[in-house]
Amino acid sequence: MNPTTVIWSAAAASCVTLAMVHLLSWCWNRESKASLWFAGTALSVALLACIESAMMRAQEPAGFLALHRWGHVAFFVIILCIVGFVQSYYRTGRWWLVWSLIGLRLLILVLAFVPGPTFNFREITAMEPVVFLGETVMTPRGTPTPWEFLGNASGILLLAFVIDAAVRLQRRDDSGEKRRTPVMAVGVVLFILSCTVNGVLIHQGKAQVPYFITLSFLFVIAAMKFELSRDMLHAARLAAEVRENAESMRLAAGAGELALWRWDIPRDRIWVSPGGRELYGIPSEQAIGIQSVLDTLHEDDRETVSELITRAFAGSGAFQAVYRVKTSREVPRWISARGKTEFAPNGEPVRMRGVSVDITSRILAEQDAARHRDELAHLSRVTTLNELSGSLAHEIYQPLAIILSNAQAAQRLLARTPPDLDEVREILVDIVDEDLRAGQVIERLRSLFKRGQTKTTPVFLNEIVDEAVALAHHNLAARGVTTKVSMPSGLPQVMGDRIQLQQVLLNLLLNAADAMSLQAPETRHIHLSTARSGDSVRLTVRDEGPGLPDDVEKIFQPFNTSKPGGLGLGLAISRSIVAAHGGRIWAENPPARGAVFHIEIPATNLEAA
Amino acid sequence: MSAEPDTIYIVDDEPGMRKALCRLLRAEGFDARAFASPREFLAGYDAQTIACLLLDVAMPELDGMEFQQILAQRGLRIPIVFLTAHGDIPMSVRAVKAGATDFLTKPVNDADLLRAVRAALKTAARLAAEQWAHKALATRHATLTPREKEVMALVVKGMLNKQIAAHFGTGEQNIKIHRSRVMAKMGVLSLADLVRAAERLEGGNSAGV
Repeated sequence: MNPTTVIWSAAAASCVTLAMVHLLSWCWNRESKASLWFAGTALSVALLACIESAMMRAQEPAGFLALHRWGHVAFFVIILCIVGFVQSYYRTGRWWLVWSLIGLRLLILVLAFVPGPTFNFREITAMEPVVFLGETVMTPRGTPTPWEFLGNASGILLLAFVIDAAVRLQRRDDSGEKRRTPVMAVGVVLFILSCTVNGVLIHQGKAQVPYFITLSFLFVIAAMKFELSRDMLHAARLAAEVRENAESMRLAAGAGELALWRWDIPRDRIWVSPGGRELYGIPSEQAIGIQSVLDTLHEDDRETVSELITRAFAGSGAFQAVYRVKTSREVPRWISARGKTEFAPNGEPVRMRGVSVDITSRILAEQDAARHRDELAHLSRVTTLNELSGSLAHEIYQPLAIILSNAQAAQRLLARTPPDLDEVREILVDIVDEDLRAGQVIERLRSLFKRGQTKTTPVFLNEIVDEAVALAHHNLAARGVTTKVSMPSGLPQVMGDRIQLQQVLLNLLLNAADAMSLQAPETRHIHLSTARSGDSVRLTVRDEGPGLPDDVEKIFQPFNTSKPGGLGLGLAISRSIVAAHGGRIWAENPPARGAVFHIEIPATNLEAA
Repeated sequence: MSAEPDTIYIVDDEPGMRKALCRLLRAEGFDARAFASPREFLAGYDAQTIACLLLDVAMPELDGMEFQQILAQRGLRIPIVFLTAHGDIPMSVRAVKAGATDFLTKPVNDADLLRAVRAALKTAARLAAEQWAHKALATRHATLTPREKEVMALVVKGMLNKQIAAHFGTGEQNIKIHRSRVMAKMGVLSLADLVRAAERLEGGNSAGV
């Protein structure tokens, strides 16, 4: 067979094959417009190959000219498809370049079909045989038209369009798109060069060669194919990853601690992964609706969960809840569930997908830790109270002493003639006040000594300070320590356990007093202050003692003590108490003498009155 | 006691306690004056009156013990009755050793309080009398001539007139005259009285509180 026949028909055949592949690919996925444009390009190139092959065998100028005109049609379609490919694939081409290019090619097409001269040749005088690739083929001999520059201009426009699109693609700050390296631009550059050389050689009569524009187009076809193949490879990798993820999810869900679910809301049907039924204790044959799930919940949690679902539907659709599921055992199963609602265009919730995780072991561990913390806190509290015993006795005896002296004064006043009843009335008022005070002191002590679970309520830190200072008052006074309190009113409340917060503060007060025991009484001062600090309330305790060691953090470690007979747990326990309140405690050495302790606890939303 | 009511100073940082003690003591006819801190007391104390002090042991800034020392340093000899919280035994021992008249535990019964206060006031009166007597002796002693003072010093040491005359290198008759003037000026009749007066003078402020 002749070499030209082999080359041109091979090119045509491979182009048709590629075109078919991508046409099919487009049929599968109508989204990939680039495939369609590529198929169009490849088909047109195949057509052009046939036309060129025929032209090489045209014996008469008339037949050659007819083929030449149809070659322009194929060329026009190819350019159109290349532009379409670039626009659908890069999406960065300038539309005015697109329209100028198409307009120009359309003009060329029209000129090619006007009767008389063709676009490239004013006239063809003869067909001459030449040897090309060792084979005799026919080439035209004629006079060129002055319109040749239009063809070159269209080549430059195409080049400008593709390079501009490639540059803009690189500039765009979008990593996903950048992956599409502009191989396309390189292909087009090569095509234009090769095509222009071919045109100049033939039309200007510089050399006797046939048209081989098909071969030039192969550069473009190769570049386009390269881009599309990279996309396919990428897609294949993504698909593998998705499979991997799905497999991991199935494994996790199969482990019985995690369940995937989907709730078809209008039909109220819930699908759960196999482990899910086990998690909620729902028999495998039973159809599940929302009510059957709610029925498995602990009575106290049902209303909350319903409320959360309603809120998810009314809001962004996000659902998150932690609840208990009844089990045959005594302890409930704790589940943490998260879901996302999908809405219909009219705003109606259609579907909720989510995942439920068994967090029972975590909750139990947390409860265990909390119990230990409470016990340790109690132990440390009793130690602190022991240290304060003298002060506490005083706190109780003081009101009793006042009551006794007042009552005995009253007895004397009543024994007088006439009795001083006005004074006695005042005394009775004082006695009542002191009695109430004694009651409060005893109640406060009782709660401090009590071993109990953490009870979180909204509290004012200022009140905690007042109470702790009152409890330690006598102890501090007996050691010659003066407390100076500065607390602004109107601070927000914090969520906290009153007793534990008092304990933390008592511990700091006693530490401060201990620190100053070796210095002159008139220099033993403790400054207490509260302040707002962002979304928190801050409590600061400053003493005027010798200060802390350089490694300040060390004092918060357990069994770290500077006191003989001390356990060294006070600050470690204080830190765990404050941490359980979602706050933090830290210490520092101020520029002046002494030590400073800060406690910050998040404020509640309730503003102080 | 005198027509003027005796003064009792109260120092306690607890307002309720101050008020109650004042009421009780005033009902008993005393002039009770209360202060919140030792500093305030020092500013309001009249050293001329016969008075005692009811002092709370535990107070910020200055505790009762330290205050007791300050009073001693200033030569203010007011009898102190300490009031303390329940069961502070080591402190009560220290206080009594340092010269406290009495030591009471809160809550204090009125009978105990009044007994302690009366005892303290008696001490105050005794102290005042001693101070007065000492002052009188000192005034008399000041009227002696230098030679008479020297003679008196030797007489109370137990030296005979003869020995004293030899010591000064003068006649025994001279010494006899000096000696009788000393007795007259000091207002004593016997040698024994003169020795006692000399002891008191020498003792100065050493009389116990």
